[in-house]
Formats: sequence, C-alpha cells, structure tokens
Amino acid sequence: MRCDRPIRIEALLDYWAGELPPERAGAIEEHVFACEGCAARLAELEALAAGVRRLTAAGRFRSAVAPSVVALLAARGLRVRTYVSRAGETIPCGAAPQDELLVTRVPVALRGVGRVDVVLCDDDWGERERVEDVPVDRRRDELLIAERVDTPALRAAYVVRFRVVAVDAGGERELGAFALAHDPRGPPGTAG
Amino acid sequence: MSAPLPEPPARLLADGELAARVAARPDADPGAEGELCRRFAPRIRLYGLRHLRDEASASDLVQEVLLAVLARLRAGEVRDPDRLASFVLGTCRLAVSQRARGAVRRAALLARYGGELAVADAERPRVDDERLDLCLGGLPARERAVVQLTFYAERASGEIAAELGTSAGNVRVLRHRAIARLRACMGAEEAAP
Repeated sequence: MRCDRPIRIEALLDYWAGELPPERAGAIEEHVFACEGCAARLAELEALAAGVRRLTAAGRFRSAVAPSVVALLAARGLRVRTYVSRAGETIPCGAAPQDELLVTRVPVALRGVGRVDVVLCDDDWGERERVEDVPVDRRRDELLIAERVDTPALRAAYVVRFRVVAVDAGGERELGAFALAHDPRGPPGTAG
Repeated sequence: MSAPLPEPPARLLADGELAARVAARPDADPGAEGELCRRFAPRIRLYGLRHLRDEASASDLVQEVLLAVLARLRAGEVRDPDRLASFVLGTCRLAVSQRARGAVRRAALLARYGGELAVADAERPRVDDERLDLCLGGLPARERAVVQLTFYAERASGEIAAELGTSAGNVRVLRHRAIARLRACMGAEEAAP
C-alpha cells in the first residue's frame, strides 16, 4: 500500500534514533499507525538496525572500530584479546581457543590531527588498500583495529603491515608504521 | 429477488470499516479480528521497540494492546471507529505508561480473546546478515562507526560526536548517508520520490 504523503526515510531514521522533539515524534507515530506503507518502511529500518546490532554484538568487524563499541562488547561478555602495537616493531599475536575478538591498540600522536587513514601494505610497505577517516580515541591517543577470531584469514600464519597517516589539505604524513605477526596456533608462548 | 452481495474480505476493509465489523458482531468474527491483529501488530511492536527498547517487552506490548483494543471494540466502547489507528496508538501510550500494572487484567483478557492473537505474530522483516555484513564492510569507516554507535551502543548524536571528534549535526548527516548506502546495497525500494 503506497502512501500519498510518505515520511522521508531520514525523518523515520531520526525518529527511530530518538533524535526528534516529542511533538514531531508524536506526529510520526500518528502517521505510522494510520499508514501501512510508512509502517512497513519503518519496520524495514528497524530490521536493518537490528541486523547492525546483531553483527556488531558478534564482533563482525573489519579494520578500525570505535573504542566505546569494543568496551561495550567486552562488558557484555564477548571474549576479547588485546595486543598493543609499537611503531617500527613486529608484534606477535594469536588467538586462544576461547577468544572471540582480537583487538590491536595502535598508539599514535593525534594532537592537531584531523583525518586519520590506515594504509594496509604489502611486503615492501607499498600501499595495498586504504581505510579512510577511521575512528580514533583522542583521549588515549590511539586507534583500535578489531577482527573476529573465526575469520578465515586467521587460520593461517601471516604478517600484516600497515601505516597510520594523518591527512589534511596540505597532504599526508605518517604517524607510524606497524606490523603484526599472526600465529594460528595461539598467543605468544603457546606450545606448538 | 437477487441474492445479497457477499461482504468484502476483512483485508480489503479500511480501518474504520474493519473496526465497525469487529464491533458489530455479537459473537467473534475471526476474520475481522485476525485482520485487525495482522494490520496493527507490526506497528505496536515498532512502538514498543522504540519506547521500551526491549524485544520481549515489545512482544508483550503487542499482546496487551491488541487484547485491550479487541475488548473495547466488542464492548462498543470505541466512539469513533474511523480513528482506529489513533485509538490503537493511544492504547499503546497508556500501556507503556502503566507497565507495572495490569498483569491480572491481561491474563483475563488473554483467556477470553487470546485465540485471535495467533495471527498477530506477523512476519517481521529480517535482513540477510551475510549480505548486511558485506554492505557494512563497504561503508566508509566513520559512517560504519556512527551506525554501530547508534544501533548497538544506543548513543545519542551528541555522545557520538564527542567520541568521533565532530558535531552532532554531522553525526546525523553521516547516519543518513550510511543508512542510504546500506539500503541501496541491500536492495531496498524507495516508497516515494
């Protein structure tokens, strides 16, 4: 059933996120209850939100993630193993059988820095892939990279090299170069 | 003398006609009551999720509100059947505000009208998680962070802005863009221009 005055999806989204003043939220509720078409659109939006919630709760991440999301996952019971990178060093890492999420804390000086990109590199430190404008933790001067333990790539040994760069109108400058050596047998010190 | 025209099926009735049919039958009209439940259960559930933020509570609300609406209709207590949607919404608001009370009354209503609720468990849309995972992975990192902070961490735009070092207005823009990209990636149809 199509509506002749559909509520814009942005308004439905703001309503669902609790961002609207009470009068506007109430008006949207009045419309949704009287309109099967807009109710269906809101239901689709809710399904999308629920899907994002499920995937996030399961730690289905790639690359950098907002710090408070990782903190919340750990608080809600996800088993997180954390490593701390150091610029210029290759840090050994691996997951224990009970681990569910691997998190790498990457310390970088963020004072005066706006946009931060993570540049994934090949063996010669050439750029292979770039993740632009990643979320960072300015209180701790670090960014977090997270990956679910059951990701197929983690079943093999590999070294991941990446650079963290600050990008602004004048160009970009490197904040640090990092490497992680993943061992599928488990964390450092795990017997082979 | 020609035979009377058959009544249209309940699913084709406007809200007001549907309410009138439910109210007019001294005995139950499972078709009309079932259609009422089917039509309004998803909207009540959305209202419950929005205000109670809990799947189980939202499901309870669906049951509670539908039972109350059916009872009021059959008792002839709905003054304006054409405003059925507003009546259902008002019942939702009252139910949410009175959550602590009413367990005994709910049990009594359930015993009397519970049969019609079977159709209220309407099909709910659910996304393909594997496809959504790919679509999420395709979002710019900042947009992905905004949707995760909005829908998983349930943070307000101001809190998200503080964490990401931007403004609340920009967070809303990023959220709108992210959802537009996700909907396009998931193949959602636009309802209107």
